[in-house]
Amino acid sequence: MLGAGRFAEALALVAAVVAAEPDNSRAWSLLAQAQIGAGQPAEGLAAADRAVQLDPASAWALRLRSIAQRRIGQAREALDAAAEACRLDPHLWMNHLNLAQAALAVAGGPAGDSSGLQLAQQASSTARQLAPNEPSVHYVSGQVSRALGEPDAARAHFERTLALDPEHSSAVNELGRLTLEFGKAGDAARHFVQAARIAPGQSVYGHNVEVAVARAERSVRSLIRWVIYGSWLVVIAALAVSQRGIADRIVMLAVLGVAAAGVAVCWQIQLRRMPKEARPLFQGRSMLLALGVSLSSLLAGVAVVEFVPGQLGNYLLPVVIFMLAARFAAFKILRDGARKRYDQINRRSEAVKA
Amino acid sequence: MKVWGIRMEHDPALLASLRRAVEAMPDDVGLRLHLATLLVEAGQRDEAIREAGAILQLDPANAGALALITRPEPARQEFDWRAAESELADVLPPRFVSSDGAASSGAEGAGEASEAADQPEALPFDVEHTALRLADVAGMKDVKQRLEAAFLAPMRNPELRRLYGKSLRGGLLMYGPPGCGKTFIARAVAGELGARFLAVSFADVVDSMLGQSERNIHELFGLARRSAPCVVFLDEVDAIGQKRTQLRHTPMRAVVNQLLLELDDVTGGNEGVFLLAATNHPWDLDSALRRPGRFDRTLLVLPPDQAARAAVFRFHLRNRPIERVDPDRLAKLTDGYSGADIAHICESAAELALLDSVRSGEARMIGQADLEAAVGEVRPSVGPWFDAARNVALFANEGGAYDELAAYLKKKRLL
Repeated sequence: MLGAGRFAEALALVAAVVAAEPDNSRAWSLLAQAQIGAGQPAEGLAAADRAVQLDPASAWALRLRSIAQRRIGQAREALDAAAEACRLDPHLWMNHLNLAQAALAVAGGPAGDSSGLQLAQQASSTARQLAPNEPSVHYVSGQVSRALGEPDAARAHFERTLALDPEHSSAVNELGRLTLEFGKAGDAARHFVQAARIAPGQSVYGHNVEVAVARAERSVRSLIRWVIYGSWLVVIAALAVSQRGIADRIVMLAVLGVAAAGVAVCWQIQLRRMPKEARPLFQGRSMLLALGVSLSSLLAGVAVVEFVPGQLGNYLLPVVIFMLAARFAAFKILRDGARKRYDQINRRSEAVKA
Repeated sequence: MKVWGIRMEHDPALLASLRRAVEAMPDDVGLRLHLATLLVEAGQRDEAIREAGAILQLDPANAGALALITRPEPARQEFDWRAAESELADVLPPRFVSSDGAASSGAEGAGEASEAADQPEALPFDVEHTALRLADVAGMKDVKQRLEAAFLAPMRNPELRRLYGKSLRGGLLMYGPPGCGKTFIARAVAGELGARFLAVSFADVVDSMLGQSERNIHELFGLARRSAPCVVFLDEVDAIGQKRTQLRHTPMRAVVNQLLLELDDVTGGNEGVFLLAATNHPWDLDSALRRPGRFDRTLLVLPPDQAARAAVFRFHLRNRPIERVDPDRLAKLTDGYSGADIAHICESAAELALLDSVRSGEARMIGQADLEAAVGEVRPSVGPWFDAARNVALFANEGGAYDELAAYLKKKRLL
């Protein structure tokens, strides 16, 4: 049952074994394993402590203690237990793998110990030598390389993990995260979609797809902001020097048309980069609204100046005030839309912030 | 002597003094056995079992303790609320009221009517006859219609089946959020087919001895063939039939292989063995199990609809002291709640009334207000399932396997 990941069911059976053999270190270790797997690391730590007490030379019990300590945030203690397990049984790759994870936790903790990273690198390298065909060893090595700021090495390790186990969804997810860090939202989304397809029960992968889509939306939103600024400045400048000629009108309308077309093209490019499963998640309603408010206000301003009789100087101030108000409204719509979007994504899962 | 249906022949003081004596002489097996026997007679079975367990630790072969543990639990004589109600009908308010004000006292339409069948042979699996029918499943009209079309109609009409060349190969996989009645529906299907019902869970099959799990699966299907017509219901089938890629270093791979082998045998030539399975996580199921001829038909079992929720409220309140409860209104308030959530609501409402009774020193009935307060406290438990389901509908709906789920999520604006 433990092997099949049915920790809750295993817990009841293992508890009976412990009750029958309370002085058996292996029974307590099994209990610790079931409790950690069932998401009860504090109870798992107590059981692992008891197992270590009964058999201080058990590397397995020490490894379980280390895992439980890591899960409850006792990174330093976890590192000590992992190091002791390695000392007791240096030929078991799992001990070195656990040591690498514990060292990584210490390095990633609030103290940010850089010697921890070196230890993690060393331990993961030993684990790779002992078990070169074990996917989890390469996966943890990738995490270590990533923490060391070596994205190419990390990518190679994650790809090796996938070569050994094509269904290693965590490795696919990590490749997506690496890609996202390089600003390639579309490619990242492709990795996240693949991870979600392998393990659809893991909601974090779906969340990551949404994060990637939100990043793509952000670049469109940023373009819209520049389009609003640019077209606003061009139109105001054109109005200020307007001689009420047909050429001015054509120029102004052309500016607005080019701006709208630019946004549409960028929008399409971003959408095309996304895998088709992620496209329905692209939310452009607030962006379209902001663009509409901005461009229609510019058009209205041009129409007033062109078609209302009288001197330009009489209308320039109210027109500029109106267009400024429209620009602020458009920016507010954009900002509120983005905030709502990120809130919506982050509410679904706290695993990776958008 | 009987007080409120509970037997009180034994003096509590006698039991207390015996307990003290056992504490003073914990190794006295005879004394402990006497206490355990008296406890059983006094209806305190749980404590008696503990005492018997302690005796067996001291003397593993103690026949008296073994007999106590294996003695079947007597039917509990509960207080007959219905009889008391009819006696006090003129002074007590009605138990249930409908939204239009009409009063009733029954818990009709929600009872689970199953009875143990004669065991054909001594095996670790229980074969039972069930009198339950789909008509006993309140509400869930869509599910029943799809069940009829996809599974029951071909089973019940062998001539038409032959005419249209429809094979009996394949089983039905029910999936949906936990606590929404998949097992209940499976029993009802067995009842509809007039077949025996053989329910199997992960714990029934898996054994710590290497090879025994595969043997258990073989025995299970052998028993089903001998008990035909029989519905084999694999509960939480994702546990037995987990994706083999997730079982790299475990003997469970062999269990999945054995299950596939037996499924092919069953669908290949065994008349009268019908396969049903239920899972909360169909996406964790080995894809080989979903291939044609195995579990190739799926049925989405969603949280109960309004009619079903009202029935579930009636069922869970049937043995509780209630007054003026309106199940239809409660059903309206609990859209998106599972059957298990509704059971929890009833439990919480009972707790509220109990605490209030303790505070005031005067026992009172559970009322509509208690239930509505409990509805406010209990949140629907199906949220995390729908998070995962959303992922599946968006990213893993290859071949349209989850179109039904995607349509539901769209309708509920979850997609």
